[in-house]
Parts: sequence; structure tokens; C-alpha cells
Amino acid sequence: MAASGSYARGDQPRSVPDPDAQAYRKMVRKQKAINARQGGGNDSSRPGRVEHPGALESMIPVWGSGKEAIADFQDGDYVGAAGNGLLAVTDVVPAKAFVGALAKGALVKGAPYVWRTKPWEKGQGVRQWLGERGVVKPGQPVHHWVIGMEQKSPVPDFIKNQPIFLKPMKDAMQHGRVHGGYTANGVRLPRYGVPARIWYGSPDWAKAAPVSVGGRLVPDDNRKERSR
Amino acid sequence: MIGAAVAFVIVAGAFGLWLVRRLSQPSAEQRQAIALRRAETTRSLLQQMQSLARPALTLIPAAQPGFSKLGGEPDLPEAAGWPRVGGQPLAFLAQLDLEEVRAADGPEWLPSLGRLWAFNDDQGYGSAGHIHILHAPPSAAVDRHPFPPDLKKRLRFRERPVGFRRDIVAPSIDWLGIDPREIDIEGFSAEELAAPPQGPHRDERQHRVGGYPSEIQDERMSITAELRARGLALDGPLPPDVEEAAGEWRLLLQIDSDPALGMNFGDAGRLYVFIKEKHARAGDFSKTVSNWQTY
Repeated sequence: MAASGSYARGDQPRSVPDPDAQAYRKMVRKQKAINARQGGGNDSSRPGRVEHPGALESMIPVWGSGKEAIADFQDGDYVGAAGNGLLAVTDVVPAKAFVGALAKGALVKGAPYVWRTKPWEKGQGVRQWLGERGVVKPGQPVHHWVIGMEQKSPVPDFIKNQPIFLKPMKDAMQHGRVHGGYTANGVRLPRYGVPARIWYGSPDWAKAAPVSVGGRLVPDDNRKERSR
Repeated sequence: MIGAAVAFVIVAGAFGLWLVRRLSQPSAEQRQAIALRRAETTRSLLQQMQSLARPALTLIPAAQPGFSKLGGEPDLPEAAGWPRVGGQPLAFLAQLDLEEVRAADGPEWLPSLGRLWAFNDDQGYGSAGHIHILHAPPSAAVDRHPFPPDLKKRLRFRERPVGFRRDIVAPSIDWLGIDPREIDIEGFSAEELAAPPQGPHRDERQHRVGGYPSEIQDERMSITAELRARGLALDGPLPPDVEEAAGEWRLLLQIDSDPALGMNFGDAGRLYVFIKEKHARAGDFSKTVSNWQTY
């Protein structure tokens, strides 16, 4: 009776495919390269070195991504540094808008809720309120980008008219083409397609926010490895 | 080291911004001068609004249905076809009997006889003529024109016979070209503030003949009307005589978005038709200029 298993191969071990082998070798090579550049060993206590942020610290806009980018750069992980650098940049826009809104009292004091008021009425319409703060220039159209005023929703106007839900538009043509066809200088232009409507019809911070938040939701394998 | 440098740059930048803002704030004397200037501007504005206020008719559901109505199928002169642009039928907005308008004490610059029909080209916003105004003498026989089969369903508005409520409407700060940042009503008494006419000029649904437009956006629509009538770009240099010529424009018709009728122009927008007073008096409704604003 013929032997089975390794005995059948002259006691040679069975060749089993290891799916992690390539990734492991790559990681080891990378770590060796890092060690070589750093002069060997872990020199995290070296003065001036920026550490990778912890899980909670990495969630802080700008700071977390920026620190991670610097730490990646020090580790020689230039792709990671570039990615986190980009994340930090995309953090700046929503963070700036948020801080700006706080500074202007939009979230603290509560914004005006009526779109327009008569000049002889106490209180301001939000259109004037935005103008006084330099958010919109005279003559600049403003677009309700989240909740349209025509929608038969239970959302009251004082919510719809909050500055955070408004987007100053470049001009009447851009605003018009978000809603439908528009004629400029005798040329009939069609309504923007959905991507352009989203792009032109939403504020910069809203466009950057998904990247900023999404970037944080991606599992950071490097951080897991470092914590081992 | 790098971390400390980044922190230093952030702190220094924040301090710099705070310092610039602090130094750019006006002094106490400057603030007082600004307050005085704003009070004077506001006083002048209130007087201007009061003196320029005009009668306007708000289109309300009719107690006794007549010829005038919003939406539905139009009663056009027998020989008239349904207006089209590029082969596409336009949306019927309203028809008005000018005799009913004048009987309701409407604008005196409108002819006392005749009929008007308004059709909208919703792909033509931005052009001077996206609202087509048809005019016919009272003697012209009319009959009901059914919706063309190729008219989109969203452009088939429900019918509402209308009557008229007379209001006094003041021009808005947009119409007068006043910068809202220059207005401050603090310090004005209730009597002073109650002086301007209190016609409907807010966010309510408004269909109107005459008076002044209720703007949604910040735009001097009389200037826009003059520029569009001349075929000039809105963002170009303003010819010197435009300001004066703009004073001749009158609001002929304002149609609001109205969910009950299935009307929605953009996002709860409004349609406006302007005409020069001399043309209206002469019964020439071929020289109107339209506009559209939306949220």
C-alpha cells in the first residue's frame, strides 16, 4: 500500500499556497527599508518626530489627517502621505465653513427664517442677512440647494431658509440652468445634467465633506499593524 | 519639531487674522457716522416708497366667474392658433379681460377694453420674450382651445376663474436700487414705519396685475427689462441713458408658482411681464419683456 501525504513525496513538506505570503514579504521589505533609513530600530522618541495619531485623534478634521500625512511622509510612505494630505485639504473647506458659520453666529444665534422682509419690518430676511455678511454680493442669485421651496414637505420655511441650505450662484444663467433650460444672448442652453447640477448647485463644503468623511471610514491597515 | 512648527504657524495665523479684523473695525466716531448715514438713507427710502406706491390688482378666486382666469384651456380668438416655439406648444398661464381689470380699479395706464392671453416658454428663461402676450379687441369672437396633444402634462395647468382685489404696492428696495446694507430701521418710531403702504410684498403666493414686482432674487428688474429690450447683455457696461429709460417700465403681469394649479416655475419661482407705459396706453402689447426668478 502506497503511503499518502508527505510520505508519498519522500517526507518532503506539502507545497501549500500561502495567500498572505506576497503581502507579508512586501511589508517586511518596506519595514526593512524604513529601518534602514531610520538608522535601525524604532526611533519614535527622536525629538521632532511626528507620531501617527491615535484612532480618536485621527478623526479631528485637518489636524488628524495632517498629522497622519506628516507621519506617513517620515515613514517613507509617500502614497499614504499624499492621500492623507489630500484628506487634510478637503477638511479645510468644511472646517472653514463650519468655523465661519460659528463666527458669524449662524449656528449660535439662529438665522433669520423669512426669505425677504419689507424694509420697514423689524427683523431681516435671510437674503439681506447674507448680503450684510458679504456671503452674497448685490445682484447675486442664491439657490436653495437642499430643500426646494416648492416641495410639498412638512419642512417649514425657517428650516429651508437657513444659510447652511443656501448656495450663492455665479449668475442668473448658472442658477437658471440648475432648474431648467436657459437662453443667453439668444442661444438656448439646455438644463445641466445631473452631475453639473450637483456640482454647481451645492456649496464647496458639501462637495468636500463626503471625501473628508469617507476617507476616515476607510480602514487604515497600517495603523492596525503599528498597534500590534 | 515639525509638529511644533505647524502649531506655531496655525496660532500665528489665527492671531494675525484676529489682529487684522480688530484693526479694520471702524472707530466709535466712524460707527456713529455710519449709523447717521443709514438712518438718513432709510428715511429717504421710506418716503420714496410711499410716494411711488401704485395700485395693483391681486388675482383672487372669482366670486362670479367671468372671462379672466388662470390656467385651464384658453378662450382664444377663433382664428388664433396655439402659440408655439420651435414647434413646441407653450404653457397657457392666464387670460384677462381688460374691462374687468379697469372695473376693479386697476392701473389707469391699461386700456379699458380688450383681452390679453399669456403663454410661457419654460425653455426660454433668460430671453426677453419667453412669455408671449396676445392681445385682441373685445369684439373678437373667442372659443375654447383644447390643450394640444403634444403639450406636456406638467404644462397643463388647472383652471381658476379669477376676480381682482385692489392693493397699494410699494416698490421694493431692489426696484429702487437701494443697497440693503444701507438700511437700518432701528430708531424709527412705529408711526414712521407704518407710513409705507402695506400691500402684499412678502413670500405669499401672488398673481398680480400692475404695481411692482415681488422679487425673489436681488435684481433691478426695470434695468433688466430695458437691457433686454435693447438686446444688451446684463453683465455688460450700463449705457448712461438706461437708468432713465428703465423708469418707463411697468409691471403688466406677475404669475406666481401655485401648487393648487400645478404651476411651478423652477423652484417656486415667479414670472414677470413688463411693458412701457406708452406702449400699454397705445394698446401695443407686442413690446413686452419677460423675466423669471426662482429660489
